[in-house]
Amino acid sequence: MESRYISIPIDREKLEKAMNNSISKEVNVRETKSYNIDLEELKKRITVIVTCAALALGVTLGSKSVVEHINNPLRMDNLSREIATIYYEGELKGSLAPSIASQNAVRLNDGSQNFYYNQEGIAKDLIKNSMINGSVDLQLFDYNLGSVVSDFGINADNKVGIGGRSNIDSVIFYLKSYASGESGVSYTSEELSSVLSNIDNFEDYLVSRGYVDKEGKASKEEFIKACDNNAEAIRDLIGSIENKKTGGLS
Amino acid sequence: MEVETIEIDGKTYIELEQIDVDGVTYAYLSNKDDSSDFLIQKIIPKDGEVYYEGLEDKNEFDLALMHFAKKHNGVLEDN
Repeated sequence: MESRYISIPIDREKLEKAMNNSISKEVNVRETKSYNIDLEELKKRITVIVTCAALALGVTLGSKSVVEHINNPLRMDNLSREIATIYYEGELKGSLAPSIASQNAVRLNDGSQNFYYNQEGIAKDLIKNSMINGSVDLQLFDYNLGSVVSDFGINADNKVGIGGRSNIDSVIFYLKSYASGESGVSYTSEELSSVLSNIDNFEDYLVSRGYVDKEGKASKEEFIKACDNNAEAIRDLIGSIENKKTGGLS
Repeated sequence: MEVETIEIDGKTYIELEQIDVDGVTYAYLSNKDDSSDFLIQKIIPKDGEVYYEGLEDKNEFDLALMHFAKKHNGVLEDN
C-alpha cells in the first residue's frame, strides 16, 4: 500500500526554533483577544505541530508510523506506566498510573509549576515496583531504574541532593540504605543487595551491571538501550503478574 | 470557529489548544502570520492573573509535543 506523506513545510530548523521559543524563563500575562478561524486553517496548524512531534520523536512522517510509535506499548514511557499501574493499584485512580519519577515529583507551593524529586520516595518505589514473589527481580528493577533515568532527563545530574549529590546518585544513596538495612527496611533481594553494597553512585551501578561503552566506562546510553531491547521480556514478565492476579495462566 | 489570540514579543499567536498533563496545563500557540511558527507554554494561574511560562527543557518540550500528537493523531490520516 502506498504510504501518504504530509506536505507541511516543516524542517528541523523550524522544530529547533519552536523548541527554543518554548524553553525560556520568560513569563507573559495571558491577555487574550477573540479571533475567528476557519476550521481548515485550524486543522492545518494542528498538523504542523503533530508533524513536528513526529520529527522530534524521530519517526517517519507517514501517518500510521507516527501513531504506532506514540502508542507502541513497548515504548519506555508507556511500559513504565503500565508497570506502575500494577504496583500502585488501589492507591491511585485512573486508567494508567504515573511513572515512578512522576509519582514522586513534588510541586513547589509557590504558585509556579516548578517541582523537585523525592529521591527517597523514588528509591522506595523502585524496590516496591520490582518485587515479584516477595523478592526484587533485578531485570524489572533495571527497567524501572532506566525509566526513572529517562524521566529525569538532564535533571538526573542536577546536584540537588544531600551532600551535593545529583538526583540519580541520591536515589542510589537511598537504595544503598535499604540494602544495608540502615533504614530499618530490608526488602531488597540478596542479588541487588550485593550489587548495591559495592557501589557509591549511579556510574558504579552501571559498571557493576555491565552497562559500559567500548572503553569500559559507565554508559547511560547503553543502559537505556539495553532497557529498550528488554522491553518485550519485561512486558511478558508483568503480563505473568497480571495473570496470577486475575487467576489466568502465567 | 472562535479561538483566543495573544501578543508575545510583538507577534500574535493563536491559542490552538490547552492540554493537561499530570496537573500541568500546556498551551499550544501558533503564529497568526506564519503557520509553521509555533511555541508551547505552561499556563500558570497566580494571584488572580493567568500567565504563560516557558518550558524547562527539551524533555518537557518533547513530552508536551507527544501529548498533542496523541490527542490529534487522526489529523495526519485526514491529509
